[in-house]
Amino acid sequence: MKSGRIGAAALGTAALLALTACSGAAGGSPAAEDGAPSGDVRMIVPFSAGGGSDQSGRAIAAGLEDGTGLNISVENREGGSGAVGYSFFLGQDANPNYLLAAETALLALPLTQDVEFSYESFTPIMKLGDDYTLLVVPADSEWDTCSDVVTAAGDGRVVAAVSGATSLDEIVFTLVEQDQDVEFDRVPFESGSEVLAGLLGGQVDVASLNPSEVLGQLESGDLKALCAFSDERYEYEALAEIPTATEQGIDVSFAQFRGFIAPGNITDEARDFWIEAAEEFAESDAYDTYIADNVMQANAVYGDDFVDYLEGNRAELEKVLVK
Amino acid sequence: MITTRSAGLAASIVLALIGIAAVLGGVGYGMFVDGGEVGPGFLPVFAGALVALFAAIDVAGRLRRRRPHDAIHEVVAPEVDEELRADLAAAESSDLDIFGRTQRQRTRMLAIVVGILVATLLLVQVLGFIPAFGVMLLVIAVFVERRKWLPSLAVTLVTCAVVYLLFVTFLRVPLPEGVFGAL
Amino acid sequence: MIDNLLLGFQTALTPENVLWCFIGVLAGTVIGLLPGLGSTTGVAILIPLTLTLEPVTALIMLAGIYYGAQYGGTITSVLISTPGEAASVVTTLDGYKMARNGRAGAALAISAIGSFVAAIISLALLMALAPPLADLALEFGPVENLAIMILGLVIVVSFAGGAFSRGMMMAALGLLISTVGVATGFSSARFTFGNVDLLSGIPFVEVMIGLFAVGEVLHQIRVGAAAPIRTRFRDLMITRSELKRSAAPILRGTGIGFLLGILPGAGSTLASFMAYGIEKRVSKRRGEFGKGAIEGVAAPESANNAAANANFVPTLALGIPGGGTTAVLLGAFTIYGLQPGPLLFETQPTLIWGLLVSFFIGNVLLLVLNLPLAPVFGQMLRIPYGYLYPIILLTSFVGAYAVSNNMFSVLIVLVFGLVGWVMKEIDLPMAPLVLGLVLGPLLEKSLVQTSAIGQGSFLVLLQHPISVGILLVALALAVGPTVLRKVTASRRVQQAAAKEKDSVSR
Repeated sequence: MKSGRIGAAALGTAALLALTACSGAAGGSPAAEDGAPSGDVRMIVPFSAGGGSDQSGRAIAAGLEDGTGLNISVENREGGSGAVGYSFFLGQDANPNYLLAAETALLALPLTQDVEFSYESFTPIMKLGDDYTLLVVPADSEWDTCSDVVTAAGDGRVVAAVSGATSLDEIVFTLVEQDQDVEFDRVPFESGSEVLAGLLGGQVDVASLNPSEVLGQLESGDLKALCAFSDERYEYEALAEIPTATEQGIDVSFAQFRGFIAPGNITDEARDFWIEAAEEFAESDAYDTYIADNVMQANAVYGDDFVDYLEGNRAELEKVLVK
Repeated sequence: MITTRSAGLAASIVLALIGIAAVLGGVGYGMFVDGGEVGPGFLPVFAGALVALFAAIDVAGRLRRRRPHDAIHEVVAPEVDEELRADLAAAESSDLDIFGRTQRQRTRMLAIVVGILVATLLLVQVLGFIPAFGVMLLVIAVFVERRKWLPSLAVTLVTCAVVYLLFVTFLRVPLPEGVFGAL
Repeated sequence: MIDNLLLGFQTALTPENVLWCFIGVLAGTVIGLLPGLGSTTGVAILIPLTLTLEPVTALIMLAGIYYGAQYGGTITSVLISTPGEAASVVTTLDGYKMARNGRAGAALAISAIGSFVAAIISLALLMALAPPLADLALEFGPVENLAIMILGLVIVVSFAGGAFSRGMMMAALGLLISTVGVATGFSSARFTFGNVDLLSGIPFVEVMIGLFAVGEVLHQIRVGAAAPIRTRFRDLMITRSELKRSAAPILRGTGIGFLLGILPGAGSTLASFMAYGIEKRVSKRRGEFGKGAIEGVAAPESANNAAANANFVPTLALGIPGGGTTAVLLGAFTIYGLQPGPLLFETQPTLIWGLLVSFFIGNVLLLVLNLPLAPVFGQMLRIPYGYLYPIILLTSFVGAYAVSNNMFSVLIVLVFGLVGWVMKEIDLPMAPLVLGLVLGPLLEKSLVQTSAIGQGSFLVLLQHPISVGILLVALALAVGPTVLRKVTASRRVQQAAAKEKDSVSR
């Protein structure tokens, strides 16, 4: 008798699962006649509140609000390393009243996980800028350049910290390995700050971190930066001395981009509307503050240029992630 | 109750099978990767084996000793109010709770509440989150618990208002709205 | 030091800052009360509200939410068996039993007092010793963390108590459930069956709400002994003897919590479970644990509050977050244009010392707020259960939704609510399951990292002096009591103990 009831409950739950899976969540206001957004707009952030994506999502939302006069609210839909948020966004096809704060997961997820979207499913609007990484070592390390590290890796064991299997630092180390034909021993961590603790505690030898993550330690002299994996040197005063990897004979440059996208199949009017709003945002002080606070490089691109960028970026990721 | 013991046995058997399945799955994911380092299958195999092991021990133990356990003893600590203990003992012996409901009635109530919960979750897409759960509160209070209409309605409205203020106004949680729009 | 304290008081005691500190701890208490919404979500959600404030004021308020939520989470754990965060799961074991026995007021009072004492002691240590402690914490890498996990598991085995095999079975099941999703350092998903929502694993907050809150409601409906708990006001006050019994557990809990709290990663959940496990080992009233022992509330509550405060050691001294909530707080630093890092103490003395002093003020406010309110909250149990349980269901599901704004969370709560009810019916312990679920990812991470550092060998555990020390402690705890008992006790005493233990087991 009891097991029958449990069975019924399980059945009900299964039915419920099926139902919620089919129906998309309601929300958003109806679009105007020509398909351009009006009224309330939602900015989806596929990661939890307080993180890097959340900060960029909120900065973009606030910037676009100022320019367009629309009311843009931020919604965090986290889970599955971003997959939950992107999948939800896929369900908003052709709805101009939704935006999503995108980053490299947009490209990495389709390459590594069984998900239903790729960047072609959406309408890329704007890339705000690039977040490169610096190769950092403890201040008392014997190495002074990235070539020293590569040489050491060729001769013996160099332990590198990485913050995930598809993270920026993993990609950068793999590119260096491919470029220089050496090998790093990896110890995986779960975030930049864990990597930082491991580096300061001497558990790992080198790490490749975003400038915003290590600026404090660079200023205090606990860490030193050997090179930047970027196309050009940073213009920030504190970072201007750091040579690029290319200057040291290592042809590696890879950035995590931050930007925003709209759902697929929106009208041309809606797409132009958002691109125009994005261009206006890039002119504002709020944009400059965001880029400077997060120590990024301000390489904004829009629309088709953003699509081209994504195409090139995916090709490079594919070399690293799909083995 | 007879079912409690056999259900316990069944649960342990199911867990043993889950453990074994996890070990097989874990081996498939690879316990070790390049040169003997721990791989993604290591913990599933380890945990699955432990589940299977202890579930098997539990099954063996249950089959060996079949001792009906004392329900009252475990609910009430020794130093508790004599009155409450007497109450509970009375309830247990007569099988009626304080509202005079029998064990069978209460079991049916449980099934109904679970059914209402499932229905509520289905209604969320139609009515919106808070209205659906408000209806649930009202239905349970009035039809399952046989409370009076008016106080139940008042409790429902106050609860929904507080939840709305806390979650929507204060914390800005985007609760699903129904086809009729906000709240 | 004195200058710094003075500077701190000057900053923290401005009317505006005291007001926002109060608003913070009050909001924190409310957020802690809501099932599912712990301090991490609470702080993250409320950051946008503070953007117009001065950085110091904003951080004072956000930190207030953090430690305020620690107090609030206890209230629901005790009253309706709904832990707000994983760290208060242990509190439900004895706290909820105390409430059922009519001692809700005492349980709430002792947790407020314990939390306060723990906070003040850890704050004093934090102010005096943050930089050296932070350097010490850096010595704890993956290898040492693995040793701590082993120590934790050894201590926690004592949770299993009488029904040893069933406790271990549930702990292992928790570990197994935690392996759903993507493992640290790998990109392949496990046991997800193509479901996108499962990629990041089965979320433990939702599991906890399901097992404890919904499971308990379903269980109570069927048990039917749902009389409102009648208590005289006098019974709600804490007694002198209860205070005396709790003194040592509070201090031990504070010590354990502080030590684990300064390590980035180990966390307050493990601290609260370990504090409970240790009390159960050292207590003369071992038999009362799980039935409403006040030590079982005092120790874990002190531990998780000490850990919450100790989390600020690496956060402020190194710019490395000690836990989930401090990570969000560090994010807030960036939003206000402050650069977190080891130089904060030097470059922002006003901010840091103002913040630290505000913790004192906030904790005093919380004690003043919570002590008189404890009996009042206790009266909540007078609400007829026919109203109370649908309200619990409603808030549980809304809270679960709010964790990640996803109907998937709501489904998890329902499924694990049913699982929790079945577990209660057939008498399987829940706390080991939650512990396994919470520790699983940490254990897996340190296993993967340690074997990567040792290039496939776990012998590195024996090459690091700190991990050897921790393992020796674990060994002593595992076999020590047995050896001691064999040496000191006669066979007769042993038999009596075994008999008593048997009657305790279900």
